[in-house]
Order: sequence, then structure tokens, then C-alpha cells
Amino acid sequence: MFKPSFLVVPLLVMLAACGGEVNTTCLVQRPGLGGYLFVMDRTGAVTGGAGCDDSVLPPRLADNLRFDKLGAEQREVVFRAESMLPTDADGNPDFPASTGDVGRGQIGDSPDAQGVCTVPTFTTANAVAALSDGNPPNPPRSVTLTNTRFLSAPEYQGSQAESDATYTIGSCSASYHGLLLTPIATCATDADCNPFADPANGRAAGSGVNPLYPVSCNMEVGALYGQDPGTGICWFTGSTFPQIQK
Amino acid sequence: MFVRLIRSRGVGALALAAALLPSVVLAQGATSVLTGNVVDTQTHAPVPDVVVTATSPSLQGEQVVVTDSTGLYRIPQLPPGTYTLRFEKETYRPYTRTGIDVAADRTLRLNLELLPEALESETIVITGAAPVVDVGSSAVGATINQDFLRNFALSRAGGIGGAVRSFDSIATAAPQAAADLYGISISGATSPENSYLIDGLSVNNPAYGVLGTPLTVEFLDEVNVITGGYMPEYGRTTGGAVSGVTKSGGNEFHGSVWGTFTPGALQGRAKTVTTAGAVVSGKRELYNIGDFGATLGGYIIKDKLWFFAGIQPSFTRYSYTRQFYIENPGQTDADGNQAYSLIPNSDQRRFADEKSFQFIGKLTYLISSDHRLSLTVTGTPTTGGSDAAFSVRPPGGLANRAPFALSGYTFQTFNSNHYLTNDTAYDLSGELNSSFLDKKLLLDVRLGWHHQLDEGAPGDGSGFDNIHHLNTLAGIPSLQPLYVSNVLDFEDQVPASVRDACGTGDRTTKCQTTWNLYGGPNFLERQTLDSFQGKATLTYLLAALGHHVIKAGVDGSLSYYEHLKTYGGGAWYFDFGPGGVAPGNSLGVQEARRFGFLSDIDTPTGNGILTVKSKSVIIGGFVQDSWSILDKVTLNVGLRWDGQYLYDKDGLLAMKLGNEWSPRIGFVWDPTQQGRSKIFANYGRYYEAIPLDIADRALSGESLVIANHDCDPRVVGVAGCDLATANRGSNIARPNVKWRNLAVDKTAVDPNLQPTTNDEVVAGGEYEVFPSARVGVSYTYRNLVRTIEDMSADNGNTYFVGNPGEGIATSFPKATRTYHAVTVQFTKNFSDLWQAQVSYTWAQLRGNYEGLFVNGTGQLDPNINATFDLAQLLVNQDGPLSGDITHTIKFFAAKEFIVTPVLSLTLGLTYTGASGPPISYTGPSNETGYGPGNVYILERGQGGRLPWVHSVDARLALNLRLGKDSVISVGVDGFNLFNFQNPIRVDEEYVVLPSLTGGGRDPGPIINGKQGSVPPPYGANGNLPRGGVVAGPNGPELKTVVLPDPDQQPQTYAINPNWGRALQYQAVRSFRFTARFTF
Repeated sequence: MFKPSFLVVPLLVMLAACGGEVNTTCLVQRPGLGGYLFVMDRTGAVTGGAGCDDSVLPPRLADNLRFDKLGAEQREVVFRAESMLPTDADGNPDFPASTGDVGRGQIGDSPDAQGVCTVPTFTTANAVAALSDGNPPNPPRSVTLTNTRFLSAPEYQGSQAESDATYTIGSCSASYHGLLLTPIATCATDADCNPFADPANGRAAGSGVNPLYPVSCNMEVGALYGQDPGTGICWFTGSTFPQIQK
Repeated sequence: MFVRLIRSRGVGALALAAALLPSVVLAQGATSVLTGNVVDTQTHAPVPDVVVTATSPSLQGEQVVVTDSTGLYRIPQLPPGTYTLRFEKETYRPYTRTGIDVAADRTLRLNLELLPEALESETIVITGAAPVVDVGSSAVGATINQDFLRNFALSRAGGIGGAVRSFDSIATAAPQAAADLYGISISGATSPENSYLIDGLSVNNPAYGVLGTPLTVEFLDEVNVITGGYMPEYGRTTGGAVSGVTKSGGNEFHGSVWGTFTPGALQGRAKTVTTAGAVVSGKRELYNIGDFGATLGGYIIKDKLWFFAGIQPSFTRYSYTRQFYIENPGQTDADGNQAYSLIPNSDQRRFADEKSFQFIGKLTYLISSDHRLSLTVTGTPTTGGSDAAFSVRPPGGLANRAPFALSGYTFQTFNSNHYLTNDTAYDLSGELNSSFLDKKLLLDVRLGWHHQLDEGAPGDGSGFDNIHHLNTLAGIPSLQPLYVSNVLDFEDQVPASVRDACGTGDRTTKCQTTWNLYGGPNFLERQTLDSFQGKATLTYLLAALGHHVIKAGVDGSLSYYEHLKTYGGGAWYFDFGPGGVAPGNSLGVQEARRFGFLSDIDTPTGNGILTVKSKSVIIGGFVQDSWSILDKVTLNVGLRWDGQYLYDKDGLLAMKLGNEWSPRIGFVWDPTQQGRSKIFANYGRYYEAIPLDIADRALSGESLVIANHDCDPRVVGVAGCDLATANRGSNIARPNVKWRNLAVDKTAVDPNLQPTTNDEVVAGGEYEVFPSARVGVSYTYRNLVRTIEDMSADNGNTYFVGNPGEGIATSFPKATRTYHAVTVQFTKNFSDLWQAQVSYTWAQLRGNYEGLFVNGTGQLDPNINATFDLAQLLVNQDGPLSGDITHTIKFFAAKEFIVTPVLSLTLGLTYTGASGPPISYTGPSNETGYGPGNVYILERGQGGRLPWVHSVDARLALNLRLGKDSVISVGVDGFNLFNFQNPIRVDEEYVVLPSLTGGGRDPGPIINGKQGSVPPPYGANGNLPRGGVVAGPNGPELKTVVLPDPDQQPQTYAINPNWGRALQYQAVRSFRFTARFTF
């Protein structure tokens, strides 16, 4: 005579084996996306003595940071800051002669309960000589990132982050804090920040900004990032991390 | 039902009325049921305790049951065959009914009235033809049995069935089934969405969903094609089910020996595919194809232990030929294109070979009258290629049912397409059928193992271990040139006449062409797949307001996929030509694919071989009731649940689909209540079984490293095209960096991912018009609720897996696919020496999602195809899909002519006709990296339709009977007797080059554009004109048209003069000669 348990037991075993949460990894967007725009506010005074003031390290700053992940386990995160790139005689960005301008840190395996992956500290990224020039940068420049937190849940894929930073130019130094966003989308109006394509009105593709982020066309951020007058950047409407539409 | 009264002595069987009511309940496995009600012919009251005995040459021993208080008897778990039922009870005349044909997975209902002994003194035998209307099930489909296989030319040589004549290839005989690139499309779905079963064991390829075991029809009793309306026992398919039942032994020895041969020399002449502006043309032809084999079935112990065994070797050879041409300077042809002249003595021919050896072994053991065990093992090892010959199917296309595309020979070097292939599947399954409580409680348990090895290795036998040894074929990388040059710059194996014609004088103006690939072999791979399956089903018969057949069951599978992937030399390169990557480069190349990762900046690591192991766990359960309400109407109700769990290369859970609830409800009503008609309807929800390819590629990541180089990798190898020869990054994004990563990360998955879901409604009716014949009409509606695909919201930089239009993919349109079909059908089973099956189907398939492969490119990556990758490429994609065939006619008629008592002639005629699929206007999306065919300039299907495709086939066989069961048959099958040569595929690329204005842009979509109402400034007079050549200020030039670019700005584009030209014609006439001895 059959016993019904022999049907139930293998089913329960398989159910137990299959339970659990789906694994997610810590995601950081690669350089090919064009880098993260880092808009930061100074959190204290400029230090370093005479001549170290707002003209050297202003209260609000924008920079472009490109991140990448290295290694078989993809745990090492590296970054390069556009502000650290050497320039040629005309003031245009030039190729660095070495990779000393790269900062390195370690990231976790999986996001935490809030979907965040943290790189506690990076090594300092120092500006280096240009390949075309060979002369060390004068004055020396560097940036150090700490407590960099990426919004890495699958729906965000690391496209938003916040970080502390210390910028040093010569003997002057200042601490900053701000948000990071990729991709960097230029705009003329809020409509250009629409993440949805609108081919009938000439927008073949959306802005690329995650639809879950509250953004608007920000002229001030555009000016901060060196855009022409009338060109803004699609930027968060708020300043706290994380910026997610309710 | 037709009843013929025969008065006969001594038979001892009697009844006045017998109705044999076939009803289909599609059970798992090869188990059938005979059931019915017994009443007293005088009082019409049910007769309990009637002893019912079933015997058959297909059945070990006999099966005995008794009728219950309602007069119902039920004999389950019967293998297919021809049965005799005997009914006995004291005070009643015994009754025997013979010749009951039971197909696989069927429930036949035989109601009868028993005559009391006191009523008459004569013995009366009533015979009647079995009704053919299935009054117990709303499932829609067809059964192709031995009669059909014997009488008709099926499985065309060179078709999807191949030399082995695989069991799925004959499924095209069913309405709503048609061949597609990878198998059989059923009810508008693509072939990887089907469930393929042999004796209830799933033989799908666990990685791609296509058929994994192409078992020959010679080993099978019959093939069931289920196109819709099935009960919850069948789950996890959004297509249909193709189920084969293997032959078994018996109490007498039986078998067959056969041989078939299709000579290529007797093939019809093929139309040549002409392409404007080509230095080389080619032709692919079947050279020969054939198989032979033997089967033997019988007993080891009569009525206790039976066996069946079979072998089938087979072979296939295709011929590829090409010729070379040279430009006639300053001359144009009749179409206005550059004129070419054939270079004499420039013919080249090579062969593509494949061999297979299939086998089967089966034991059936009757443990006791209530317990039976069967064990089956099959194997289908297949090898292709040799030292001097291609394989029929190269790596990356091992799942293809057709030989590799002609362009793989015409526009490639031999070495770049030279492989040895090995495709082998082994299946082992065991089934236990047990019954309890006088067969009121049944238990069916099945365990099985499906194993596959699919391998494509270098053609010189150097294997996967030599990809860094330049003195072997494995060590030579392949290059894909992206520029036009003299053919001799790419192809090194040409006839002397070509070398003379193209290599002398100004090479920069002669023999100008591009090439698909040159150098060594491209993609190399080894796939090892294992699927362990188990299933247990309980059935209980309950009498309550009629009768209930209640079933409940659980099933599960554990699948493993190990995939070794690499390229010849460890990498495949794009070749940009001299100076192409950077000024001064002698040969500018860039990795198109090289597996590896960056261990540090500019430090590529990895030997170019990527081995990924992934797995999936699938579990399911169901409960269903087939309730015969007061024995008048049958209500089928059920609920199924499935859960699918996919694991990545690190063994971590990467995708979870745990909410797959499938309700099913349907009814069947016989207005005549005599088994001569039915009206039915059924609703069901179905889910896709996700193949493992997504876990192998997307969920595990497929890390690539890329740099630009100035080197010739064929000379120096991958090691020589490394850091020292790599250029600095070409843009400020990677200053001073030479190498970059691609596709490293595991693809993110929407945490609220929902499974691919299909809803279906079927409805219709059938009526028996005369014995063994019925007419029917059915309507099928299928709607894709959602699907799973990978998408990118940032123009291809990063991807995620989700449901388009839902969850984290709201910026994408929903995937849509809606199918309507009406089928009218007439079926006459084989009796009185003839049979027929005629059907007409009107169908409509609309949407923006084709299924698990892309028809235009042939990409088979289930749920991670390129179709939904970028939202901007989905514009204009709603419309008639590639499988939208409006009209399909299938006509089968066969008759056996008796010449003498021992000699007969079989003639079977077949006509199939189908209207053509839609044609679109497409263009390339090179700016996104997606290439040709990805921009729909007008709405899908605005280019008209291909013409009808007709085929007339015939079988003619001479049969000589040597004994009671021994027959020799010789015959010939003719396919496409009239050699119809209509195109079945055309060039749909309206634009192939970047715009002539605006800096060289891709074409963009004309939003909601329709031919006939194209708005200015685009097109001409409301249409997109055909291409051609016009006189220009600097000589002949291509006609141009104004189209939008991706930013909707008008640009000027050259029209592809080949748009609308045929790329492929229907298969030519062929003849297959057969000889067979059956005993």
C-alpha cells in the first residue's frame, strides 16, 4: 500500500534546497559609460596656510570620476579623476605618462540590506606628468576618496553613489562630500532628462538616467562642469543619498 | 456509430449496442486507459461485478478488473496496441470485442449493454467501427502512427529531420505546426518553446530548449503532436508538445530491416541566389543522404520479460561550390549594377559530412498483474567533418537543423570554417506503473537521465589544448575584415586562374570585395549537459455525481551545463585594415572576442578559454479532476504550480521564478451522447521552461578584454598581439590605458522578475460523418502576457534581465505576441485500405516578440536575444511577425491497391501550400554596435509578402507479403515533385551603408511609417522606392533616398539594390529510395 509521504518528502527536500534570496553582486559602472559626475560641497575650511582659499578649492566642485573593477574576483575598484589629468600647452586633457593617477580600493561581494556597496578607502590618486611633456605637474595635485557608497541593487546597478573626498593642490587641502551619477546627460530643458525615448519628437533614445532617479535639468551643475551657457546637466533634485523616486 | 449484426455460432460473445468512445486524457508517459459503462440491455440498469479482461499482443499477460456499483470499469496503464476486451458475469451472455486500437496516452470509452442469458438462445456478435471523435478531452493535436508513416512521404531528405529522420520532423503533418530554423513551430511559438518527450522523458536541450535527442521514427510506435488545450500534467511550455512513444517487445518476435538512399544526382535544379556586386557566387546542394538499420522485438520470458532493440547508422554529405568573377570596368548589367565576368576555371568544391549511429534498447518486465517496470536506453552519437571536409553544422550553430549557410563557404577561407563536430545524446529512463485497490488507485513513477555532448573543435584534430600553438589549426586566430580589398588579401586558397586574373595589374581596382572571415577557426566550444528527472503521479477514480478521475503529481529536474568556450588562437579579431586603428598601423586589429579579465591596469589575464558551469532546479506539482458530470458532460479542471531556480558559475542562486500558477479549465460535451460529436472549450495559462543559456552567459558574466593592436595575429599569435603591440586608448575615457574590460559583471536581475507567461483559449467541435472519419473546426487564441529578456537602458553599456514594460524595465515597451488560428479539418483513419487528412488553417501572428530565437539573424540565445536590448530599436517592430502565415493547406490521401493476395501497391499523395511571411524594410544599427537588421525603417511587414510556397510529395511502394507478418516493401518517396522554386527568404536590408550626409549616420525609423503614406521629405511619393544604379557625375552610382537618422534628422542614404532579392529558395525536388523487410 502506498504512503503519501514518499511523494511529499522529495518535494520538500527540493523546495528547501531552492529557497533563499537571489544573489546580487556589487556593481560599479565602467569607464565606457563616460564616468560619474561628482558634485560635491566643501565640508570645512580650506587648510594649508596663506593663499589657500576659495579660489584654490571652491565651496562647490564638480569632477568626472571613472571607475573600473579588476581581478578575478572583481573586488578591486580603481578610479581616475578628470581633474587629475595632465593638460597640454593649450590646456586640454593629455595622456598621463604613468598610472600613478589611479586610486585603488576594495569593495564587498554583495550589497547590504539597503542595496549599498561600500569602498571604505581608496589610495590617493596623484596627478602625474603628461605623456607628451614629461614634466611633473606643478603644483602637485591629488584626490583621496573615502566612504564611497554605490547604490548597487539590481534596479540601480551602481549608477548612483555618494562619497567623501579630500582634494589637495600644492599645500592647500579641503574636504568635500557629494553625490555621484552616471551617465552624464546634458540637457537644455527638463524634457531632455526624460529616461524614456520619444522618437516622434526627435529623441531616439532616453537620457540614459535611471527612471527611478528624480532628476531635472540643472544649469548650475552644468556651469560647474564647464558646459556652455544654456547647457545643463540632468542632476538630482535633492542632495541626500540615496535619491530615489517615491 | 455504425453497427453491423452478424449471427455466428461458437464465438460466445454478445451485446446489442456497443459504443466505443475515444477520449483523450493526455497522461504523462505511455499509459492508456480503456473504460466504459456496462448496463443491462433489458432494464438499462448498471451491471456491477462484471469481470472485464483485456488482452493484447502489446500487453504482458492480461489485465482484469470488475465493474463498480455504477457499472463502470476502468483498465489503466495500458501500452499502445490492439486490444480484445471480454466481459463476463453469471446470468449474462459473455461478450468479446476485438480490434480495439489504443494509441498512446489515450483513454478509450467502450460502453455496452449485456444481454441476459435468458433472453436469447443464439450467440450474437456485434461488431462496429470505433467512433473517432474524442469526447473526453479538449486537447488539440494529432497523432502520427504507423499507418501514417507507412503511407506518406514524410521527413524530407535534407529537411529538419536529417538523415536519421528524427521524430519531430514528422510533426509538420499536424495542423498549426510548421518547420522553423531550429525545429517545429507550433501555434505561432518558436521551436525552443516546445516540450519534446520520449516515453515521457524530456529530451529538450537543457541549454537552448531545442530538441536534444533527434531519435529516429524507426524506433517509435507513434508521435503525438499536442498543439494546445492540455491538462496540468503537461507544464512548462509556451509552445506545444511533441511526444514519441518507443516500440516494445511482444510474445512473438518481430522487427524490420531497412535502407534508404537519397542521391543528390536526382535532385531538381536549384535556382541560383544572385547578389549584385559580388566577386564570388556559390551553391549548396545535397550530395547524398541515407540510412539503414534493423530492429528486433520479442520476449525473454513470455508474458513476463520483453525486449526491443534497434540500430540505425546514417550519413549525410552536402556539396558547396563557388566561382569567382572579375569586374568589367565601366560596364553595368541589366539591373544597372556593376557588370562582372566569370573567371574561367575558377570552380571550387568542398564537401560537408556528417555521420550518425543511433541505437535503442528496451526491457519491459511484468512484476505482477499490478506492477510493471520498463527500462529504456537510447543513444544518438553524431560526428561531422574530417581532414578535408567541413562539418555540416559549425560551433555556434550546433543546434541548427539545416547545414551551415552558403556564405560560410563562399565568403570564408576553409580554415576559418573547418571543424570536427560531435553531437551525442544518451537517454536512460525507467518507469514503474503500479495499481492498487482493484485498479482504482494508480501510481506511475518515472526516473530519467538525459545526457548531451555537443562539441565543435578545430578540423585538424588539434583540439582545445593547442590554441596557443601556431603550428596547429587551433592556434590560428580568425579575422573579420571590415573593409573592401582585393580578394587575394583575404583568401589564400584560390585556383590559379583567379590568382592570375585578380593578382596582376592594379590590384586596388580588381576583384574588390570584403570577406566574412579569414585566418583560422572562429568559435570553438564543448557543451556538456545533464538533466536528471523524476516524476510521480497518483490517479484515483471516484464515483460522485458521475465519475471523477482525480490526478495529483509532482515532478522535478536537476540540470547541469558545463560550457567550454574559446576561439582559434584564443581570440577573434576585427580587422580594420592598414592604418585602420591608428595612423601608421600596418594591420589594425581589435579583439572582437577574447575571454579574460584585467588583473591590473593593462594586464590582461586568462588563457582565452572560458569554462562556465551552471545549473537549474525545476520543481512542479499539479492536481486535476476530469469529472464526467452524470456521464453527460466532461469538465476538466486543474491547477499546476512550477518553480524554477537558476544558479550561476559560482553556484549562487541567480534567478528565482517561484510563482508559476497555471490554472486550466475546460469542458467537452457530446450533443449526440453517442460518441459521434463533441463541442469543447479550454482555457489554460502556461509558463516557459527557461533554458540554461541565460545562466551560462548573462547570469555568470562572460568577461572579455579588448585592445587595439598593430600586429598580424595569424603570424605572431595572441601572445604577439599583446601589450607591446597594443595602442593607447583612442579616447580620453581611457587615457594611457590600452586594455579594457567588457561584459565582466554578472547581469543584474530584476528582483521582482516574473516568468514568461502565455494564456491560451481553444474551442471547437467535431462530428463523425461516416465510420472512421470526422470533420472538425477549432479556434486557438494565444496571448503572450509577458516575457523575460535582457535589456540596456544606457545604449548597450550595461544590461539587466527583466520583463519588458514592467518592474525595472518600464522604459521598454511590453513584449507582445498574439496568435489567432481557425482550423477546419477532415480526418479519415486507415481502414478499408485508404486514409486521408485534409486541413486548412487561417492564422494571424502579431506582435513585437518572435520568441526564443531571432528569425532574421538566427541568434539562438533564449531570453537574452538582441531583440529587446535597446528600446530605441523597438520602434516600428509591432506588426506581423516572421511566423505570420495567413493560409496553410495540408492534404494527405493514401490508398493501398491489392494486386494479388500477396502483392499490393501503396500510393500516398501529399500537397502542402502556405502563403508567404511578411517582408520588412530594415537597416543597420552600427552606432549602437548591433549591426544589420536592427532598425525597422517602416512598420514591420510593410514590404509586402513572399509568394505562396507549394509542394507536392508522393510515396509509391510495392509490398510483397511473404507470410502472416512478413512483408518486403520497395518504394520511392518524391518530395516537391514539380520542383517549385519560390523564394522563402529575401534580403530585407533597405540600407546597408551609413548616410551620405550628416557625417555617416545609421538610418532611423519613420515613426509608424507605412508604405503608401511615407511622409515628406522621406521616400518618394509616399513610398520607399526600389534600389538600383543611376548615372552620376562620377560614373554609375546607387540610387538614393531621404530617410531620418536616429535623431529624426533627414539624411540621404544609398538604397541597397539587393533589397527584396531572394536569399533562399524552397528545397528542390528529391527522391528517396527505400527497401524494407518487416516481420
